[in-house]
Amino acid sequence: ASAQSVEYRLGTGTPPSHVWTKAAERLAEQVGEKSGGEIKISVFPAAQLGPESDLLQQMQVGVLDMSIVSAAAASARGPAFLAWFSPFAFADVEEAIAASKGETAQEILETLKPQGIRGLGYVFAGMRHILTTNKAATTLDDLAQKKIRITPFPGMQVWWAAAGAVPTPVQLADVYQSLDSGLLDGVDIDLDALVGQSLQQVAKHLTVSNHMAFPGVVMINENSWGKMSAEQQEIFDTVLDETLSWASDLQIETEQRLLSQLEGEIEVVRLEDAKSVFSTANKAFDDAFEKIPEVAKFQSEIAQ
Amino acid sequence: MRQIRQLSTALTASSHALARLELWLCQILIVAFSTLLLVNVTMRYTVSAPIYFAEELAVYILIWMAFLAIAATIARQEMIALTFVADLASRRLRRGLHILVDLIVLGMVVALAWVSWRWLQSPAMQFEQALTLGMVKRPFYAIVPIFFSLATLHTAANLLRHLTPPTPEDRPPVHATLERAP
Amino acid sequence: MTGVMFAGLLAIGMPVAFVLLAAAFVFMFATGNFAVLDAIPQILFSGLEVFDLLAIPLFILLGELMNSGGITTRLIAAAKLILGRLPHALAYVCLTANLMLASIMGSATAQIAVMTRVMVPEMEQDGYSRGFATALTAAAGMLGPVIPPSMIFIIYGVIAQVSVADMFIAGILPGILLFALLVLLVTLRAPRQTVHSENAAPAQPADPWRVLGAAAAGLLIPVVIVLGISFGVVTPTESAALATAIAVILGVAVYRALHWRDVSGILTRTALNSALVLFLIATAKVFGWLLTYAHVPQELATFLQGMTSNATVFLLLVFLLGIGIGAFLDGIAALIIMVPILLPMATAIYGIDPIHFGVVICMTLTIGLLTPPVGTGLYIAVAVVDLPFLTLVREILPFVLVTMLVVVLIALWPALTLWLL
Ligand code: NA
Ligand code: NA
Repeated sequence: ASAQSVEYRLGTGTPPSHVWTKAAERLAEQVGEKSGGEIKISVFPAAQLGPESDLLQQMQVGVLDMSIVSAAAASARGPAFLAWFSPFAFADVEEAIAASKGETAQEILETLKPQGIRGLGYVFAGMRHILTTNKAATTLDDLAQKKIRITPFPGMQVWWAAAGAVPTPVQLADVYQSLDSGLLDGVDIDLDALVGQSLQQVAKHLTVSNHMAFPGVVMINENSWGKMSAEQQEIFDTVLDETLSWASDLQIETEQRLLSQLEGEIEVVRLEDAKSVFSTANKAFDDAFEKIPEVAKFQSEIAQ
Repeated sequence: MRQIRQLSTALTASSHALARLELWLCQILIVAFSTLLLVNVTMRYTVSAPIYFAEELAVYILIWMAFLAIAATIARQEMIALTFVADLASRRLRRGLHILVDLIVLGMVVALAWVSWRWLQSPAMQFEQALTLGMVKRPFYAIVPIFFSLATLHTAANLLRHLTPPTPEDRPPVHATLERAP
Repeated sequence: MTGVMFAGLLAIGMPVAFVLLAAAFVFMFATGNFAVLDAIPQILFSGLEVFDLLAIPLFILLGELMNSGGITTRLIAAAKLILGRLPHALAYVCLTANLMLASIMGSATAQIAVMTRVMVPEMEQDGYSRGFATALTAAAGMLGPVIPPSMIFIIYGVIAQVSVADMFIAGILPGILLFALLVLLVTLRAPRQTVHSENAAPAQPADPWRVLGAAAAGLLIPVVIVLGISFGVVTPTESAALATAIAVILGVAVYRALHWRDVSGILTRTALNSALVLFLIATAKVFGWLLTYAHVPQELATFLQGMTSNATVFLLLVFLLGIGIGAFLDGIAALIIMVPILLPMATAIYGIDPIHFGVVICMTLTIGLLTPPVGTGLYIAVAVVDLPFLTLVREILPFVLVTMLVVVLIALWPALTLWLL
């Protein structure tokens, strides 16, 4: 069929080196190729079109066609996304990837529908770990009253506050200096960002806790989606599936590589009983968000 | 003409009164975010208990302050503009340029007032959270439509004043305000 | 077409911030993409939703407090005491007082506003022409954002995701170089001015130690800031709030010059002057968004890339581009538009250190404060001292050329920024 060609703009809030942006670039390239140039996607990385909350708003009014934003940012508009931050739901990024194919993960994407947005899938940044300046965090006592930099959104804030630490929002660019000067005692972070900012130079104790996953959500405006013919949509879906599993493999490999790199540079403690160490914090998370139906449903689906 | 002049006088008076109110609020807001930052530093350093929402709240206060102060600079005709063409022009032509600029700006701020009120009513606004404050962000966003509504009023007053021949309170635009603030 | 429209609106005297917004309307009518308008409210809001922008009103407030609280006059008195015996002493006093002030304040516009008000009348009394005195003081205001602390470096740090503290350290040598070359220029040019009194110091200073002590109390502010940042008490942005608190305490308790009746005026001027800058920043965000959306930066990047493969040549091109853009746009507004376009090229293609690049682009765009037609520093100076705009433009030209020379030297020798790191 000689379908019309479509042109999309895709925005991300992450830098070019981040796996989400890489996935976006690959998607654009492959979709262009497989559709014979009929579907053209231009990628705007690094918040060129605005921070994640702006990207969501621009998608909603239809000025932006596609984006990959964090589930944390999406949770400001659809609280169901908080289910992803259920503490210790996944032992590693592979388990999180597996869960993204489940029924509840898809239902969470559906909650974007009233905003005119179609959730297409998930692409994962690394698992969250704890990097500290003084000593590794093996008990809650090690974290008591410690100033820990977090990504500011309710899921993470509730959990860290209940763990007895002092969740401190500091701009990511200031974290290096703040750890160095003692303004911060630690940071809740994934290994990509840790190595990307050379934080191992100023904080020498890494606790591999895997306490939360950090998914990005791939989405498209409903009207933009409708501009494709059924045939084009099929091509798009196939390429997207292929891209997401490519990104998953990349993330799993990166996670292992960075971990062994760090083991040669700083103290790395694998916290095997992390879930019980943080039991009070986990309970606080459940208490705070049990009203959201998807949270309970997701947790029980994963537990099976 | 007389009715226009009366309307112009009334509108100018209310525009100036509003500008005073805007600047009075700005004074309070500046004190508020400065104090908030200092209290946060003190709490964090002395008792290791930073105010979790301090940064976010300080930024929203800044944004409210900024838009209110911008509205006041519109009323006072103190915005940064290039005036060297107008400076060379005759009195008549200069007035014409003022009227033309006011008309275009009025068109823009009316359109943006309409768009931003619609934006504030959009469904996502019911959800979007101010993350560290743990409340909906809508009250903070409200300053944008408020600003464009204030700008509409101030610009309309400026336009009417330029349309009616000069009166004693008519002042040329100035670039910076250091000596002229109360 | 869009460019002509843009120039036309500027020329008829439309406020610059509204010209930047008008671009969205032009784009909308030209492309029929009306959704663009719906994106504007959010972009305006989030353009200001940046913690480090709090530094803008805080530095302006600090300047107002230092003036009203008598800190500025104490710094000048101390500079006079030290340099008063030199011929043409007041010109050097002006530069030195600006250097001291620069270690406290972070913005050129705030510093120009403070210093022109106190220095120009004094220099005029001594026989300097108003044009020369204003040009010298305005040019010396350039030290404000180069010597740490610096608002524009903070904002660059945020956009470029580099350490603000590193940016501060990288600014020290360029600041000293700029100061040295300004001293050299004054030595060459000041003799043409008729000066009444050969030296500026009073015959018998009342009590030299008292004068120095009073200034030292003022210079406590940079010491507290540096210690505060390095010991993790405050972030660079918070340090501006800390500095205002110290300025209040000094003004009220030590110098006894700050009074309750001044407060309303100080705060109102802070609000109005912040508004001028903040509206430009917010509307420049809309403009920059529009350019990006329309693929302009991507094309510009390809164009620049095609011109050279040499890092130094690239930096010099960026310098020329920055001077051109700085002629029309406020420094911070221009920074927000240019950095996301140019920095990725600078680091990835030309291998330029982001800190080095940051100092070059921040200083280049700061020069724009002193160049016509849109020069916020010039506008503030002429508003304060009542001088024809074109007279100041003519008088400041040699100073602007010296400042440009400094930036070119820094572009050629990265060590000038990176050596202290
Ligand atoms: Na400075
Ligand atoms: Na300029």
